[in-house]
Amino acid sequence: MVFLAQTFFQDQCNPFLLSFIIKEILNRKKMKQYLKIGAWMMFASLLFVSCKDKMFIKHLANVPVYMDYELFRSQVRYEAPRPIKKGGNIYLKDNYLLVVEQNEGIHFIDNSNPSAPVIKGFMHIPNCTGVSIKDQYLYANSAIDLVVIDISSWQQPAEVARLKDIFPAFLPQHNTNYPMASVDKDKGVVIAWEIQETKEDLQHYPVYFEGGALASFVDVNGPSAGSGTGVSGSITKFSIIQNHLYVMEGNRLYPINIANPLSPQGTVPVVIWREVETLFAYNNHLFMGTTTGMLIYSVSNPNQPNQIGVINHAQACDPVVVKDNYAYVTIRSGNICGQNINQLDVIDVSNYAQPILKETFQLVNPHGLGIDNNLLFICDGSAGLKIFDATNPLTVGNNLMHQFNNINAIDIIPHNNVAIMISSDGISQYDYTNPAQVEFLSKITFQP
Amino acid sequence: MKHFKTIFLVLGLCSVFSVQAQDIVEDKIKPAYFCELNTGFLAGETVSGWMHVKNGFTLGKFWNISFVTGIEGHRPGIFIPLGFEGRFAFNHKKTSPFVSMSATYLQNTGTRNYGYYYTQVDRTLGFSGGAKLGVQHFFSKSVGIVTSVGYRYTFVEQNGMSNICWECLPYETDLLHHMNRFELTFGFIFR
Repeated sequence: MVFLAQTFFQDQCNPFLLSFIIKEILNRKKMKQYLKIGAWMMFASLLFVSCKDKMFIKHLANVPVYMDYELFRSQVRYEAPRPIKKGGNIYLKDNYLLVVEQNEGIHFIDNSNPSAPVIKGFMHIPNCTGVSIKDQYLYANSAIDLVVIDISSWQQPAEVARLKDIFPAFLPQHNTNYPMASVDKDKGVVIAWEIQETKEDLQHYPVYFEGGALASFVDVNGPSAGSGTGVSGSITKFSIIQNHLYVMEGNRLYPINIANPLSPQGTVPVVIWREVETLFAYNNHLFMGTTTGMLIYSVSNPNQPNQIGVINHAQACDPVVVKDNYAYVTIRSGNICGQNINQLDVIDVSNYAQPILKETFQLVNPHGLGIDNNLLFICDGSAGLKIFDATNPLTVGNNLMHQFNNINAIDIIPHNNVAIMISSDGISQYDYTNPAQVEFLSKITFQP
Repeated sequence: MKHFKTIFLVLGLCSVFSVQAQDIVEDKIKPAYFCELNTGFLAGETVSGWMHVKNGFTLGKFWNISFVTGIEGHRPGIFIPLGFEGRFAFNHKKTSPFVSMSATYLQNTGTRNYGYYYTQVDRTLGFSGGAKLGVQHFFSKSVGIVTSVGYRYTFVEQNGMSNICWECLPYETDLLHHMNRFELTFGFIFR
């Protein structure tokens, strides 16, 4: 009885119904009454049956941690400098180097002297994964929102505008060893995940496909970025072309009109049916590094970029940079990157509609890359930083000029003869004024 | 095949009990052993069938209790129930209405994958319980028929490695089934 009562209660079936019926049965003596009771019993059985089956799944999962929307949107503030724990995207604007602390905010580093950079402050932006700058305005994502920060005074940056809910599918990075539990957006913004045992109705299974988990972005260094923009590393999902900011989030490309920075306007996102990892703007085109190839999008209609070219490769991760008629794509393997391929592809993009793979060079585990003048910088993972002579793009992989070992290089910005490289343990800078003799300048070490 | 052997064995035991019980059927004091062979179906979101063998004895004029086993089909698979049923008859005549309640543990009959949720099911178990209203009618001192309608709740828990998350390695998962069914029964009583 206890078992039945419990289960009825769990199932939201009326536990008193059954006891009522039994009581009625026990009080009756005549057969007619039995028949009546039988009819009632039949009716009761059908009532119970009308309780639908329920299926639950119980397992360890990434369970969302919520923050109230209002509270979340009041979190942006400039704070005293703090040590960098784990740097993400890097961005260079004038004499300032910005380093994204994943999901926490942006470090402002005065880099007027690359030999002695100084961390000046920290812009706290919850769930920020990328940054981009045009003129005096910094654009950063904050989970589902885009925030605009006035940096006319580097000492006192302040939020001046916010485009709410522009990235509705944003979810923070989760532990990929476990599935994601359901998200209830009415509870607030998902700011993190916790691994917990969860029991869920199988009919409302997790939101695997709604959002992409990664919304990182940094800006681009191509000539079409327009005046007033800075320079980003190659591992970025933010890009500015003229008066439009392009953000890749999940499998959607969001064009955002920033002609009026104080009132950015979002438009209908473009769905990209591939897993896009990096954006690179060059010559009024967007070059997308995806896990299965490189896509070229035209922004002749800035609100609705359209694909004009593609070159496929096997499943792998692949940042891309472009210079003149050649795109340089590093392809690497890894947990989420697929097969065992680690190489540099040199692609002829003189005709954007028909990119052609020209050469391939073997590498160890390449991540970000950058090109300046005729030097190609490749962060080759555990093999460190490699600098190639790219005078002849078709032989670039054979012309290794320098290699800096013992660093786990991730991404790089080569700009004005200074290469700013982020590795797993810090940010190092190198002077390549004399390409024959690249000199180490400084390093900011992370303090996890 | 193994389960059919078990069922035949129980049927054999039923016959023995029936013969032994004939002489004491009218005895109000000593327990009267009986055996019942039932079949029926469970109807709800899905429909499945079952067969039960019950061995029990009477307790006084109106009550009896029996041990239940057999074979049952449920949404997640086929199970052998092991449990008890208590029955209250409203009179002591040839034809008597009754109410009964049962509770059984469900032992699964082997590893069975459940759709795409699992790469491998390591454990399946369940419980079932319900209440019925029915009528029993005896043609003679030792043979009768029984029919009833009622409600049955069944809970089945499956544990295994799931591969439903495309980006994860298979991970341990429990799949919990709560099933509500209308139950119709028909059977024979030997005592």
